[in-house]
Amino acid sequence: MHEFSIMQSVMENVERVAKEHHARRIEAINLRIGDMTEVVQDSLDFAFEVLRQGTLAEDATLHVETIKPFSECLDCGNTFEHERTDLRCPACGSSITKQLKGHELDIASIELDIPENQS
Amino acid sequence: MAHHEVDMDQAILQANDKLAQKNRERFMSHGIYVINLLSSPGSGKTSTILALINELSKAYKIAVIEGDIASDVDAQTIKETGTAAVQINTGGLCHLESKMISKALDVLDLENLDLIIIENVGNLVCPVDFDLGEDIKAMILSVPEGDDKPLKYPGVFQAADLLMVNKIDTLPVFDFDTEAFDSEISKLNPQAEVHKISATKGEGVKELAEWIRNQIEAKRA
Repeated sequence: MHEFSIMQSVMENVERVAKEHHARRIEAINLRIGDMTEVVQDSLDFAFEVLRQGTLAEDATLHVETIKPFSECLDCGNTFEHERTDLRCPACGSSITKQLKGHELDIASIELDIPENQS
Repeated sequence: MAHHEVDMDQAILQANDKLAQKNRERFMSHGIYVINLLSSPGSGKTSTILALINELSKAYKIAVIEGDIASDVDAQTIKETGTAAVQINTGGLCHLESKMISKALDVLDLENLDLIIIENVGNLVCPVDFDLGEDIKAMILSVPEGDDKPLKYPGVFQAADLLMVNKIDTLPVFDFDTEAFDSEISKLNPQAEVHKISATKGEGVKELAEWIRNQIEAKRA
């Protein structure tokens, strides 16, 4: 449900940057989304289908790079990749860990078609 | 035509996060401790808030920000205790955002508040990703909802710093496997503060209020 709010924010941000670059079209939007967030790819795609109509991103492709959770154990110093459902250190079993990756909700980059005389 | 890749490296929810940070600074400058309370509809958020008001309002000035799709039933219930309450109606949006909180703060007497409880829209998914400027996210699961909710909705259980299991007075009637629940939480969110309570019957409420009292005092120190 909230993927619509998220996609609206994406569209506002990418259109602003595309206009700053005098782009004719947005060809691709590259997102980075962590496994620990509540964003569902299908819902994001659906929201994009609806929201891109009549914008510079009308024919753009949406790419989503998913980031696996990655944490540091504050007891033994081990760093480890893990599934979202288990945060404990696999080396010493500690539950005192710090999450370093997995919560991303970012626009990594966009790919633009910029007319030659504008670039 | 020329193809250009432009790096953005920008948080999608940048606008919400910036306002959330402004809210956070406002709270800090007035020494107010803020709880963002999440759960599904019917788990007992309002009852728990009423129980906490009962325990804490002698020592602390409390205000409640209520988030619902429609109606001001909850805000009215809170106001009847003599506690300030602001109702936000989202009109369909499934979560609160920091801009809504910012507006609500404009009608509260921040100078004279110690604790604000934000009762988010009843929803186990959407509110998780939206920072409102709070000190902690808290989550209530009620016994009748079942012990498998952490498996089905890991996100909300992981986002919460404070987890409350409510309606423990109904344990004899429902098939709630407390051991299985505790085990799951120890994997999903091992650092969470867990309190098992009955908001309406009183069990565990004093201990919960004590923990919140400690957090309020720690923020002031």
